[in-house]
Amino acid sequence: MSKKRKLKVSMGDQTLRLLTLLMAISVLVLMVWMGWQMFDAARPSIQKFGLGFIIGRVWDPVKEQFGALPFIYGTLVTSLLALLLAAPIGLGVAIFLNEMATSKFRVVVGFFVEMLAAIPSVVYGLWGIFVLAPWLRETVEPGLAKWLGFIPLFQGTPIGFGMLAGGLILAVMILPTIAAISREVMAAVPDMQREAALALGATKWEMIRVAVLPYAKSGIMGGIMLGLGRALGETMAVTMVIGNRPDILLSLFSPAYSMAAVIANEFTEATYDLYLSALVEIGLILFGITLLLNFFARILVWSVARGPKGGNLV
Amino acid sequence: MGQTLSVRQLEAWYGSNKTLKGINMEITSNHVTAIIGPSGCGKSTFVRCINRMHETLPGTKVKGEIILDGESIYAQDPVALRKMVGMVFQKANPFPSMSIYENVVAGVRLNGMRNKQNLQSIAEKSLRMAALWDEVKDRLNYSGMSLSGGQQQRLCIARALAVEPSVLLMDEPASALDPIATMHIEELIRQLKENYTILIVTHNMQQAGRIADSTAFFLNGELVEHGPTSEIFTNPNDKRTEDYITGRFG
Amino acid sequence: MNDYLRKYRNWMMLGVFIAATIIALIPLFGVLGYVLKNGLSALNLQFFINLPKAMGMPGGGMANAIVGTLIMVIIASLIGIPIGILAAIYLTEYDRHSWLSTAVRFATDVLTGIPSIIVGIVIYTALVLKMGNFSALAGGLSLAIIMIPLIIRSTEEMLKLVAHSIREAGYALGISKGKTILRIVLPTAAKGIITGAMLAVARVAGETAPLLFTALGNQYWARSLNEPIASLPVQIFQYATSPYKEWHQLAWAGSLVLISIVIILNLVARFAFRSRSI
Repeated sequence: MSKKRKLKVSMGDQTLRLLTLLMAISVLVLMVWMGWQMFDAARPSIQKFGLGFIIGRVWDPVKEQFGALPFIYGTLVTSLLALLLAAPIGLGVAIFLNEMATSKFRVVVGFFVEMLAAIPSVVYGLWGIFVLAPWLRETVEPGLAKWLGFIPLFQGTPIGFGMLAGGLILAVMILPTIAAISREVMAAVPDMQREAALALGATKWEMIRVAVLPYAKSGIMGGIMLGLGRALGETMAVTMVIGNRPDILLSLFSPAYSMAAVIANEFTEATYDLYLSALVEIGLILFGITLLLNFFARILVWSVARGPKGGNLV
Repeated sequence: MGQTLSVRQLEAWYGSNKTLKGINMEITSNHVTAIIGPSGCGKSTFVRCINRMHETLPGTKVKGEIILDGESIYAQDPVALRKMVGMVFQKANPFPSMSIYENVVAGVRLNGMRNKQNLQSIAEKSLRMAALWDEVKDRLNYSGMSLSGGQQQRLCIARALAVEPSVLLMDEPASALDPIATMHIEELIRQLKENYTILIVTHNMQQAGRIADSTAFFLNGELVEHGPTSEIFTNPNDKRTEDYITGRFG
Repeated sequence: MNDYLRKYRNWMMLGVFIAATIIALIPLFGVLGYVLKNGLSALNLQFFINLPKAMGMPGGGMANAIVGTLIMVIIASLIGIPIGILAAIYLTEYDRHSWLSTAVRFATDVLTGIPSIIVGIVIYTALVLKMGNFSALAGGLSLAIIMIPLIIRSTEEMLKLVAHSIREAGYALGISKGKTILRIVLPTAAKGIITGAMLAVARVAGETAPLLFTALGNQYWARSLNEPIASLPVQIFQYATSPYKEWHQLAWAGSLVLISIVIILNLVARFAFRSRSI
């Protein structure tokens, strides 16, 4: 009897525990390793240009002058434009789906919204080149120039490609992210809050405004930040419609360049070390910004929805 | 054949909370011993210590001694121990990914038995013991979840019996069931005690009265009184027991 | 009178939200519609079997791109899915609360948010430069890195849904922890885990940026995994940004194939493998 009952954890059990532990640690190692790789490859550029890299306006590989400001500008403008459009619409979609739609509608329309996130970036880019840009050039931008041309944002020759196109396409791409997270945090609002408002005689909209939104506010902010993070890093669709010119111009009609786009276009053309290093440094800046943004965004989302969430959409 | 259990100075913690404060108890073999007491008195913890399930939760600690068949359970591999001490839970928990048949033989099969004949005969034997065979014999490969609540619980009992333990721990096995299903379970327990040592936690005193040979009353992590069921209910020694039984608190 | 105003405002706001939803869905149907219209006309048998032809010449196809995507997705899955599932098992079954699991979850979150082009940069500097050539292997590895955090997230969520009493039932039968995890918990969560894996596959199948400087692209068949290889997204990108009309048409056709794969995977994952709550 005693032989069978000896204190012994089986080999198989120990192996599984060790294996899973190893895999978990490797994820940690992967993150650190990636950060270090980026830093290491960007080091020559960091050492040569220092902080001036971020405010440098000139990007001239021929003269070995590298300044990242045009790309930072292009990235920020298109992303902020995308946010301005996608945040209210995304929130509106989330409110419609969670608080208004019947369950069948919710499943079907919810699925469609998720499909927006599933379409690959390059396909959006293709559509952007052949459908969106011509439409902007022929209809929207002339219209904006006619009615709002006194604002410097809407001046200049419409060519379709440019920051407006970039911002619009990004808005479409980040909308599902904002909608999904808003839905999640709004669903985490306890029903009791809703019922309390309704019991006091509030209309549906008043209930949403008074009971749901304030409770979910920080989570929704978090969702918007995550959407911003996604917009900052989007590569293909942006590079296909933004015009790819490292200029810093005020008008949304003008072409520009984003951080991810210049990396995508020039990486394989980087013929010497400093060039490559400068491109990697742009990537490092991008990495850093999205990391910080994601970190704070998650804290906001967790504070409402309690626990890491986000599934496959982020 | 059932085994005797000796519990000596058993103490248990859940985090910083001391849930068992020194239990001394002798449990007779081939007997049904009921454990009664108000919520939070430690009866579930006590029973879960016997098959060392208490330690699987994080932040728990145990001190003291439990002797099963002459050997300390803490000197053994807990996994092996649990083949000697079976458990049925408050809410039936058949494995969702398995059929009725697979559920019954899960304990034996996952521990190495491969012979189809053996497995099938064990399945039939256990299901008969659990009084479930006739109801499921024609749908053994249906999902375990396709049964009613009472049937699922009997399936869990069959599953526990298939491993051929000598002690059976039951943590409020009928509390989630309707009266008729409860009646079946109680009838089952009466039959099983011939071959098993049974400990049943229950908050239902009438149930203890119906099926238990001896009853133990727990209060605030202490064993207040332990004796033949009839005595506990008609002539308890301790005032606290009397108060509980007569419903002065619950 | 005040009540009437409130009611009116209510209907107006609800109308606003319906309008927002309609606006949100317009681009979806716009994109899908154009891809269907333009892609369908260029889709024929040749598309699926032929290699790309020189510009201006008719009859080119994307056979090598389709196969290339398939190969790299398989490489990515073979690496990413096991690592992801095992790491998730560690986080839910062995260690839910320690500093290590918090750190790993943080790393997973970070990796989820990394722009995919950064992954390409890292693999380029770490692998392509060292090996001296672009390769399907490097491409597959980049995709694996993108897959891992997705798989960890979804698998973890599914494992957490398995009620603790199921595990306890296993332990109480004298089944060891490892066996309980592998033979009871995993099968119970299997449907959801497969769903997560399929969605991750759909996601990486459409990735372009990380492949641009790892797998690069190839106008012909790659003869080994250690060579540059074509892929559907990269080929679409190259054709779309080219000046040739024939290539534009192929880009639409390629998009149709790509979107179909992605949508089918999404549909199957979400609806055929819908797991009931456990």
